[in-house]
Amino acid sequence: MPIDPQRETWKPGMDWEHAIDDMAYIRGLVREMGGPERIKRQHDGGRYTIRERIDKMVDPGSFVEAGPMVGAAEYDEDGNLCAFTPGAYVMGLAEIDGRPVAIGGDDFTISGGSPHNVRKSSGHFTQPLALQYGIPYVQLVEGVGHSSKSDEAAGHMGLPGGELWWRSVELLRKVPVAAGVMGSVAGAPAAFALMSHFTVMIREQSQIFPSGPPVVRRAIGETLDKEELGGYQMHVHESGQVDNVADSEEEAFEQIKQFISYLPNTTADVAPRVETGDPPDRRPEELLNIIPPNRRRSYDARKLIRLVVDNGEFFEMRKHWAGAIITGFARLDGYSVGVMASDPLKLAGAMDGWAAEKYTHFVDLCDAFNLPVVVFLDMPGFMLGSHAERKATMRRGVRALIASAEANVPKVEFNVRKAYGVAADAIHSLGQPNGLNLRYGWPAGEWGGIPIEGGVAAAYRREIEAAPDPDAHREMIENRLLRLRSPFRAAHKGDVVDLIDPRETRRLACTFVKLAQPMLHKLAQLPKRAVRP
Amino acid sequence: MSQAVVRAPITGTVLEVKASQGDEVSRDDVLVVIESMKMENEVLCDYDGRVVSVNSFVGQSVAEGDELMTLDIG
Repeated sequence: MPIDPQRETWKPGMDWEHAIDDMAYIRGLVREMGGPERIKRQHDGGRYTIRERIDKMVDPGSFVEAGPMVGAAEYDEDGNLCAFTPGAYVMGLAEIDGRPVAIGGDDFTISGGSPHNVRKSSGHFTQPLALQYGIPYVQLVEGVGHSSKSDEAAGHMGLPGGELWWRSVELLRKVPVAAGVMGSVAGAPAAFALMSHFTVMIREQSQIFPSGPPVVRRAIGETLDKEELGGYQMHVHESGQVDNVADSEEEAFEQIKQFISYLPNTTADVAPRVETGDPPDRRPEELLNIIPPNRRRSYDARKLIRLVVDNGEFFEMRKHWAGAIITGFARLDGYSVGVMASDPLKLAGAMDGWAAEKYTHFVDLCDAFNLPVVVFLDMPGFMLGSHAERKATMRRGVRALIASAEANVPKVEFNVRKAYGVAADAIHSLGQPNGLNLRYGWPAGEWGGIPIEGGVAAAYRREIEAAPDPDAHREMIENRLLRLRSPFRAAHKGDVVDLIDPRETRRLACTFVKLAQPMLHKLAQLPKRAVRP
Repeated sequence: MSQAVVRAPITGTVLEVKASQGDEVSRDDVLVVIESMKMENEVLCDYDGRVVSVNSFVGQSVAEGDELMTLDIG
């Protein structure tokens, strides 16, 4: 930053106007960030600067910066400022759709976001502000962490004390945390980004890894470019490390705004109700025939969700990973809810290890933020076979059962078709033993400990083998048992609150959510754990 | 010319092969149906293109990740 050499810097004893002029002067330097060349490089790469990002994301004029003067300042022997480089982090308070948030992000135009010029980070102001005020925390991350150059400057290699993380964990326990991965992110900034309740990265612009390609090449000899190593294909589609992908920075901001809109300001509050104008007693006609008559055929589970929720608005998370379970937020009669559905188009809706993990995380998230859960279940059981075994499907499935048992949030479940075995029990048991666990059945509903096909072959094996025509005998037993599968029989025994016309689903779900509100306010007072991403 | 490999998304038995070598195919067309977990699992086309080769047949046991078809996607 070029400093005007003629300028006399304010010193104690000089008048206040001079001091205020100096504040404005330094703020002007701060707004120049890393200088026109570095800003141009950022723009040439198709990326916004951190100040542009904050401007585009928050309500106009609402940003109040914290720590703008934090930077590397040099004074000459007369006490005049002779050099100034702003710290590589911009942060403050702002409003998003009228709600306060603490927001901050790396300034990549200064030393590539690496904090080796002067220490300035979210720990200075935004994280404490989010915790103390009890407001959502948004981090826009674009940094590569520790640099060997800083070790050289320091003259020694420090032993990390582990004091970096506790505040991020505290945030996960208390307020919504959302992260935009805005470019190449490695090391500690990558870890900070992932310590969030929601993460979004940008297609072919963002990458995230512990170390980038040069370090990987040096360590294990693997030669991949940064997109192959840590781009959206790897982490949104394959590993599930990052929740969502966006096509542009603007879309990433929009996703973060939507995510926050469904949540309360803290885990000790209940999400605000929004007037959506969608009548709770609306009867979606299309629900009647959405399940195909042939039970071996699939249907569009996202369409089913959109038909039920307010105005068809559904904010999905982890859409491209562990597809057998769909997870996201929506509103019913204006109240925020967590929505889960089986997707029969992915692994036939069966729970594999990844789907179990997705379920566990989502239940923990809803429980932390006091969101009632609405489920549309069509699960044939655990995914079978060697591929599923390699994902430790049953151990992860057991974690899903534990998540259900530990959660306190109420649940309403619509058994739209299949629900078999221990895997489906993870969902059935959400709401037990202390919560509210309402279960309804649709006419296509079928459930049990084991499906008839397979179940008959196993339990009646000797009888079938001894028959003159084993296949015909098996079929005869299957047909005998088939009548038992009618959901009416289970309804007579009280297994469901009721068998319902699918078109009644929205009305019943809205009633459930409305009646659950006083309970949610009590649950909000319970101690919460950090949601593990 | 770039090619895309269509892989089995699930382990099971091939019930139907709905495209042949040389066929023009479009995004969301059903290419193969795999019977698994008592469901007819449709393998949908992710691209617009042409079938270069078919590596699956009715009755074949396939494992998740096996190659079913190769497409020319331009």
